[in-house]
Amino acid sequence: MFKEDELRKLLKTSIFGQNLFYFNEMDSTNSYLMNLARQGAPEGTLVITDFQTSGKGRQNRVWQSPPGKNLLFSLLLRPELSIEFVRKITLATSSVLAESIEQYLHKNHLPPVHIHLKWPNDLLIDQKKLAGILSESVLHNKDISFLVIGIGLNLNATKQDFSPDLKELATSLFEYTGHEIEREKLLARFLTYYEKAYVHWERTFYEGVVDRWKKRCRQFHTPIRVHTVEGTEEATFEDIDSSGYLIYKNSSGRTKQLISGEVTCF
Amino acid sequence: MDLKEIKQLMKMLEQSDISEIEIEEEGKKLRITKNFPSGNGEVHFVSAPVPAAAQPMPQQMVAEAPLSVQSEVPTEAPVPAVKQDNLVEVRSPMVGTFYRAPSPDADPYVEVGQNVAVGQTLCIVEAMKLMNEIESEVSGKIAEILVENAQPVEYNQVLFLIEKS
Repeated sequence: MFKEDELRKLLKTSIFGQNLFYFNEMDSTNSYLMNLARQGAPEGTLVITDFQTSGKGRQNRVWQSPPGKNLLFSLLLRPELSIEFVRKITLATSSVLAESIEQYLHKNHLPPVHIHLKWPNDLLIDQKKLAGILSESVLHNKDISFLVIGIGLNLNATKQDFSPDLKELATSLFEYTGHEIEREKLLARFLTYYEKAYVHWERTFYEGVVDRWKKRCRQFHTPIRVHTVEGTEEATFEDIDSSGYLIYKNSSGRTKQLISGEVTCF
Repeated sequence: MDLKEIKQLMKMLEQSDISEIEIEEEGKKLRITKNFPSGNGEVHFVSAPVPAAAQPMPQQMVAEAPLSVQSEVPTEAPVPAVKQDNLVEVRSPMVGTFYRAPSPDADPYVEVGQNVAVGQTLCIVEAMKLMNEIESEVSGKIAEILVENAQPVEYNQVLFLIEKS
């Protein structure tokens, strides 16, 4: 069971996680926090659970996680900047989450892991999914009323915990380090680091976010499969542009920009 | 748009039999009208050119029906139907994919003919796995849905027409 008092003690933030809700089990941390936000919850409100009955993936896919082993949480942001800057927040968050995890392992003298990023919202170890980020916002024209960042991070799940179809696709920190990860400690580290980063992004118009993300991307010039509403095509990963969009070259040699869609890496 | 382009537009207007040109670009709006019979062009900035970052889309800009058709027939009544005045355009605040429902098997947020309230969710525009719910700025009735589900949309593309109540 998640120790919320422990988290409160460890937090060195001024707003992130200071307004905290913990549930043993709930439908989805994102849905719950979206409702809290509509009722006026303050920025930094955090919702954590040990088990989600309908954790959200993209477009109705389910995020699977065994009870009490991983981190499932959502954080409420109320950015001042408009969506044309804040749209890079998923990329930005991925970098900070990866850095926080690697720092946690280092500070706790645990074996290091190398975390890579997959466009636009996944953290990988050896091409297997370690974490996913699902962000939801409410817009009034270009202004953001609020934004919820939902994170599912596989920490202590073992191979047996993953369903057969996920065994080859997902992994956890435990699998790589052989050590149990203290969820409260890791989350406190991330939130502290994330708050600082967020204040910085809001002051600098999210500059540098793409370059920081690119440092952890291994897909440049590799073959990928691009899935969009128009269909699936084989392609080569070329770059990420300054807006955070994926630039790829399709099999007929045409360079294209991917704004929303799925990418399969090999 | 720079001064040179505005001057060119004024010249074009003078030489044509069009009485008014209205252009919208990146949230800025420019309207040039010709005073009959002198033909002198007049420039109006409808909304001040403020930095894009801090710019809320002005309500009147969304609310106005396209004027180009009307302005080509200046001698006729300027507004073809009273109903047009009531139509509010809901535009996409960003480039992305348009979704009419929260998930593929869920009911659409809104249907044509449905009444909507201020703050009611109309759709989602998704980009880079950030799902952005677009809320209605007005109360009224959905007159038209201009984009199919799961189709790409451009910045400022009109998504809905709402008949303001």
